[in-house]
Amino acid sequence: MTGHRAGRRIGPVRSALLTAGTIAVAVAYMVIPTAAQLRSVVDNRQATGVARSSVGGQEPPAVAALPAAPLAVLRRLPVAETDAPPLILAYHDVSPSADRYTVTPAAFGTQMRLLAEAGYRTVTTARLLDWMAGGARLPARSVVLTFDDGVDGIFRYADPVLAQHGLTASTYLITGAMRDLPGYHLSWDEARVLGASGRWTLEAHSHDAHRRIAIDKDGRTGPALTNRAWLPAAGRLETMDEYTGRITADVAAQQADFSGHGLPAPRLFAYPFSAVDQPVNDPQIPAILRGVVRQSYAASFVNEYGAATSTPAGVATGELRRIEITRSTTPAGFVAAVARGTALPRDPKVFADRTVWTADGDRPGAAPVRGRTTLRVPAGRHVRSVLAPGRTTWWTDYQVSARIGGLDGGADGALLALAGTPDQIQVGVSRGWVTVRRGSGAREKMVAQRGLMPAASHRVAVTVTADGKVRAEVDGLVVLDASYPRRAGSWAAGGIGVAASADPATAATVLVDGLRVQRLT
Amino acid sequence: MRTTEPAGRPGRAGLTLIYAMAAALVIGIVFVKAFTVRDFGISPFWALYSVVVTGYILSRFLLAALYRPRPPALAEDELPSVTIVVPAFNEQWVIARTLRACLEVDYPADRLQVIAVDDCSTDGTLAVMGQVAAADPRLEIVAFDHNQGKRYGMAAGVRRARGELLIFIDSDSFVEADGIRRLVRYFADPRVGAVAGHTDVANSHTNLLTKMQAVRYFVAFRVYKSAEALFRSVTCCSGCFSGYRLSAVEPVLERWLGQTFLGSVSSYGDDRSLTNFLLPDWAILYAPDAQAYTVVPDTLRTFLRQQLRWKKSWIRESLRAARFMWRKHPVMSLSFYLSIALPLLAPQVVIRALVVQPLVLRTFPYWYLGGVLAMAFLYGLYYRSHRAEDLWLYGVFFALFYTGMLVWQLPWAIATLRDSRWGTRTSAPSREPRPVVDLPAPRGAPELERTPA
Repeated sequence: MTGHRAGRRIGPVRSALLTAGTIAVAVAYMVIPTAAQLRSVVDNRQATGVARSSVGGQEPPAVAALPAAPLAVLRRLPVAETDAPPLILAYHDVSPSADRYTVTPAAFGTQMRLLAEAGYRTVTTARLLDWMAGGARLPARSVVLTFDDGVDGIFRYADPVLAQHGLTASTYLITGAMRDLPGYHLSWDEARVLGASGRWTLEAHSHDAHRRIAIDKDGRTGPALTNRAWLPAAGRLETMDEYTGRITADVAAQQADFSGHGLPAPRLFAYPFSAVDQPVNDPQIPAILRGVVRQSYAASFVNEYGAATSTPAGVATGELRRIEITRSTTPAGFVAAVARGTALPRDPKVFADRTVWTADGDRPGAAPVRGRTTLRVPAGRHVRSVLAPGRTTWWTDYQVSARIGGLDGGADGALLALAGTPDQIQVGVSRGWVTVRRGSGAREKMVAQRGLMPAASHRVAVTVTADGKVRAEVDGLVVLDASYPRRAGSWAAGGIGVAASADPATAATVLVDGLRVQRLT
Repeated sequence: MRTTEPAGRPGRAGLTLIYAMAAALVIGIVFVKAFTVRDFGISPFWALYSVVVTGYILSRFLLAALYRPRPPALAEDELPSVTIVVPAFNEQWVIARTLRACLEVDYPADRLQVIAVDDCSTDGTLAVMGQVAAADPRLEIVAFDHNQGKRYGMAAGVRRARGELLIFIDSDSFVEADGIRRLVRYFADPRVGAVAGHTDVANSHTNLLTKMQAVRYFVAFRVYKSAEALFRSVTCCSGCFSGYRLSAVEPVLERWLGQTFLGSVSSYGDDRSLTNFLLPDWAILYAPDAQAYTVVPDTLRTFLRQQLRWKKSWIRESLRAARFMWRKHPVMSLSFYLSIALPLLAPQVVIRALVVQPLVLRTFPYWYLGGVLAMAFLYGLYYRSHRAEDLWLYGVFFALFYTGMLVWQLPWAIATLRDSRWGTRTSAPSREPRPVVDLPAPRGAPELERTPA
């Protein structure tokens, strides 16, 4: 515009400064509040020990100092040297929420760092399946990380931690609950991003069966997959055919959802509520359910709370066991959980840890003290102490031996091999007799019995090998040399234990000295 | 000149439905905002903003509903003398219609003066003015020999005015036949210094852009200006159609012309600026029944340029008015300061909703989009309740347009505050506007030649 200079004239310098000023104000007006906004969001996340999404290439902040004692315990944890199953951990949500199954981001970061610093490496899904199919054995400190329910928290909070430590994991999606936008569950886009990151594989957790349904006319509820549904309109439970149809349809719907969203088909399945054998309202269900899962998936997971490693029989049918990590898991508790899920080596040095010996009903059992296990048996009763049955599921090709003494007064002491399995070998010695029993519980059968030179103690040795051969010797005498073929559900693998029973009239103290185990391979 | 009535209100059943929908919407909004209270723990600032902005907008509707002006009817001999001033620059296609509308108002001829000011147009505007004057000698023409800006055009009209009241009408605004008569009634109160008339969009049906503006204009006048007029402090008497008392304008004329801001001459926002000179000492009202129609930009480029100009004048004039608005009624005062603070926060609100929330926090901005759409529907329903037209849905488009485009003009407006170049219209000859189909051609004089001399 030409012309008017009404009002005071200002010099060109002042004019330029004023223009610069308005531009500066405009820039500050936009930049400062925007930066403040972004920073407050980051601060908010850091306060919860959490990072921005690692998919955006951001590094998570350093977690507070690692607790030293749990780390030391973890580093010293004995790991099996054979083809033992890997440690598998079961997580659900990782977020600040206060739910029982939700691990806080800070706790998760600490746990992953403990694992990393103790030398653990994660096993990818492909490697795990390869191992299950008889492929290369896994490194000694292997861990499989699994996250059930496919919740949004793992995208926001867990993934950055995994990225930081170079870990891999798998997540189990409830496809029926997933939408195009994130909510409690991951969105499809987020799932896709996780899958594409190379750190995650996307697996199955049922389409719409992660819920409880009415299982009788009184309205009692049970997991949808392990119960025949109560049909109120028909006034009856669904038939087995209807049940089978329902669970088959759920699997099909899930796989259709995966492929419909352009994702590779899931190969692993985690049972909702970890329910397979119970609770069920029909005894035929577990077999049918397992059958359906086996047909559609290469492997499935069941959670355990106590000591649990996968069994050979389970692995052969594609079933793996995992340890659950919950909100209340402290660093020390985490290390204990890792220990519970770690297979023990066939080495007598593991006997020293008193916590690995269990009696019946998960009570602690008698442990060797300076080489001697003392079993005090009340009159007419039976006492056992088994070495971590959940952690010795893969023990085979070993010889266990000990000297069993204190056999005066009608006491009976026994050495167990393949303890707790259907093939359990129990070599029981009394002063003048040896009795070998096979099987456990109701199936226990006597398979051999011989007289012995009466003595207050006897030396017992049992050898089991993977091909099903069992050899038992007492005082150098072979009392059993048999070969048991593998059956479905039996695997000639299991751990060791000691047991004793007392005469109805007298209590007894049976001594087991020099308990030793020696691997043959 | 008698034009068609604005499209009438919908029937009783239709109105009931609309009011019910509006009530449900308002209740829903209040309910939802009540839930926002929970967010105070998480993000107090944004929760507060959300509540405040909702309250502010709803309060505009409430206050507007309370504004029921009853200006006295004036007898013929009580009607004051009036001077209509029409400053024009490169408006050869519409100026004839504008001026004919002014000349044909229903007002005593001896008390009506019409002055057209040509700001040295480079097209045929002056020639067209001459043609109109030839047909109706009452028209007085002032022709500038060099371009001086709209403000000087208006001032030229002021200096030649003989009437008691000045009515400024934009060169592309068409006043209704009874518009002047209705407007002047508001000046019966001697404390009233200026009155804003009601202006609707003339070319509302041209395209999406003009349809959006139609809804926005309607609500901006009927709701926002009414809310201000309730306290007799309308902050901007729009240049399209407003009346001023000559005795109020003359003392401030020189200061208004000489207004500078940050060292440059203020060449835009003339209407808002002039109102601001009167605002401290005079009552400024709004006449919802005095009707005019204005042509609004129908291309994105012109629209955005206009909006940028308006933002710059808004910034400048709001800073001025902030110095004395605290003396007004407390509700007016609070409303005014909120009306500055809330738009200034808008860019950050949008960044939070459309950038921070989805990309960083990974949450969908339900609240923000829901709030924006709810307000848009409220605007639309308000429009629909007064006009039986299909345009109400375009309130939604406007809300989205605002979020996407207009809100980002604010930093640009701040950065270019000193740039007066866009204060005047372009010097290129205006292109022929699309036909304004709503209103019939002015009666009386034969159709004028449209080619420039």
